[in-house]
Amino acid sequence: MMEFIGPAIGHLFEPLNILLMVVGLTGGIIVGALPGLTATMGVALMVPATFAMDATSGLIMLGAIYAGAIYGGANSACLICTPGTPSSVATTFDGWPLCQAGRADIGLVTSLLSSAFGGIIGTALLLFLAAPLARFALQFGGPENFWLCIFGLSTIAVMSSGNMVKGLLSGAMGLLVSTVGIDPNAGVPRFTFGYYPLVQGIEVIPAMIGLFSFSQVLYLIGSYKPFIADYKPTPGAFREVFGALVGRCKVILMRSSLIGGLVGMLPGAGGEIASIIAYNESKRWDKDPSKYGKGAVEGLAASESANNAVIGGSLIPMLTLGIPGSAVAAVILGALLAKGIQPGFKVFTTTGDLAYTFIMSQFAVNLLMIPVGLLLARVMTKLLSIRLTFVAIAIVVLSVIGSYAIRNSMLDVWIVIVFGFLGYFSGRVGLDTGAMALGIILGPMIEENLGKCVHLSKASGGSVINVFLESPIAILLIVLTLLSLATPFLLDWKRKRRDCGCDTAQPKEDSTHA
Amino acid sequence: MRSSVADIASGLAVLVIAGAFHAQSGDLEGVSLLFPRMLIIFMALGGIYLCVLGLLKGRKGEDAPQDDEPVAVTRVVMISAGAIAYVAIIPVLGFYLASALYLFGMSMVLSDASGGTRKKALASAAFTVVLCLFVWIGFAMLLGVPTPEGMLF
Repeated sequence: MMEFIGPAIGHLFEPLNILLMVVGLTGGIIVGALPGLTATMGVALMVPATFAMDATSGLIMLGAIYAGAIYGGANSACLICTPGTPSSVATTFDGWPLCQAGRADIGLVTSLLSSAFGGIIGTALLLFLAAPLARFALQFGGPENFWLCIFGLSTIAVMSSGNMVKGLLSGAMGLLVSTVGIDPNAGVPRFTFGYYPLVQGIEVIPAMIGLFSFSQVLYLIGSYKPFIADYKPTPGAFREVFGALVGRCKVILMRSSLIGGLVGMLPGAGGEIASIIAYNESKRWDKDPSKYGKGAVEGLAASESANNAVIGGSLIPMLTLGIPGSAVAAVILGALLAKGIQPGFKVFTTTGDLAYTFIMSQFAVNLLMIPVGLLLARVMTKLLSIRLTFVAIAIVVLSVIGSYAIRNSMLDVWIVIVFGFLGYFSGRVGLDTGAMALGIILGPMIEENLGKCVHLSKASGGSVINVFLESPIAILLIVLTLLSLATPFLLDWKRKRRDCGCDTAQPKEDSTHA
Repeated sequence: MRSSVADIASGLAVLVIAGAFHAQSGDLEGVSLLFPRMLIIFMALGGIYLCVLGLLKGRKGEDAPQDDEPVAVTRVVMISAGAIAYVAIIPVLGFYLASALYLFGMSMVLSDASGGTRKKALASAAFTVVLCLFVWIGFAMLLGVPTPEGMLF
């Protein structure tokens, strides 16, 4: 390995490669920030451009777009409560409250630094632990993936601890909506309501745009505010955030990045699951979980470091086994194959120069992301000084083009409108759109893996329960899920005990005031 | 909105959605029905629970008003109707013409008229041109993202 690292670092200092990293990052951040345009789309759009370059430069640029786009989603999540990519859903939970409190720059800088940190940890996992982690990822079958998704879904319990019934029902609604279209197990069309195009199913991204973006337009237009939020740049924002991340958030960053790296290497499980699990774990382990959802830097750090760590994780099975860990990794795999490079363990020996240059470029990209991201964040905060009416109308047009671009289908545009109304109504009556989004994202994976377990049990002649409980990884995930579900009750019990203790300790006149 | 009303409204919404999916699940069987049926049953029970909870809260007088911000209903209705009309005319007029009409129309209707109608019209026209150009250059020219085509344009 060491014989390749020196020349790989040398390649990174070539002017063309530096330019490609900056251009890729800038393009990626802009694509990620626009609702509907995903990292997959950004990378796929640029694959033909890489055919004119040598394989190393092409891969460096694709990697930069990937990292930029995943971070870019945080910009719109913080500024307009619209996750630019599905992996930024959890970023809205604390990013938007920060923006509303006039501290948008704190949100953006936290997202940027956390993303860069997560990206570096994910790349370190790729560099040092690729082989053992790839073998671990191969142990994930139907039951393990099913329980991983259920673990992700258990976040709802923590997320909506204020009104868990509505949170769970919102999640169930999302899961039910995700069953529209062709059944992933039997191939049967379902729940089309007599409208044939619904056989295509409800795409996650238009549904997210509707739930978060169009419903947000309705909410903003319905408010009497002249601007999205009052904003005054915070002097020393970078130093303040850096201090918080290095100080009280270092454990959160490390834990979330490891979660992101590990989830990323599982085929099918991407940044959206990783960021939600990391957010959940961060809230669960925090001494004061009540601050989450109200603009906590910790929540942003968890979500953003996890979704960027997914990048390194998703490249592990792609490079070592030829199995992409995410849709973007699949596109990069296609670009590799087009260049005549066969992924597998041999990629690190026969084409070691290319493999290690690509890996080392991910370190460089994540470091370069900080200046590039800061510059773009400064431009994007200008959005907050444009009159709300213009911003809201523009969001509708961008939502239309963004959703249409997914499948070139007007159905997706109508999905945006319908889910926008659903999201707005849900917000008014206290249903949880975040939980609904989680259901829509995780639904297809849960059902597919449930189906696999049912088929496995039929094939082995045993019961589904045996299939669910046969592996230690599945049992560990079940235990984690139960712990996650019990967390709100434990926290409530702890709070009541503490309050009870305070009341008895305080003088009587104080308790009457309370 | 009072919390009892919010509970009843959300319970009814959940019941309506569960009912609609249940009505559509007639021909399904086996593994195709397993997962949706579990969800429908859960949602039906949850919906009933919320309705009963809302009714009980109303009866016991525990339905404290939620701290909702005031809503400019007319503006919400206008942008909703505008968005529906916009999406409906895209297949006829094409994306760019429909977008230009929507942008200009909505900004005329929704922006405040403190500077006079002429100034508002100029601002709306400038906004429309700038955004259409941004979308055309950014999406169509640079990224090659397809836009919906209409019957006329």
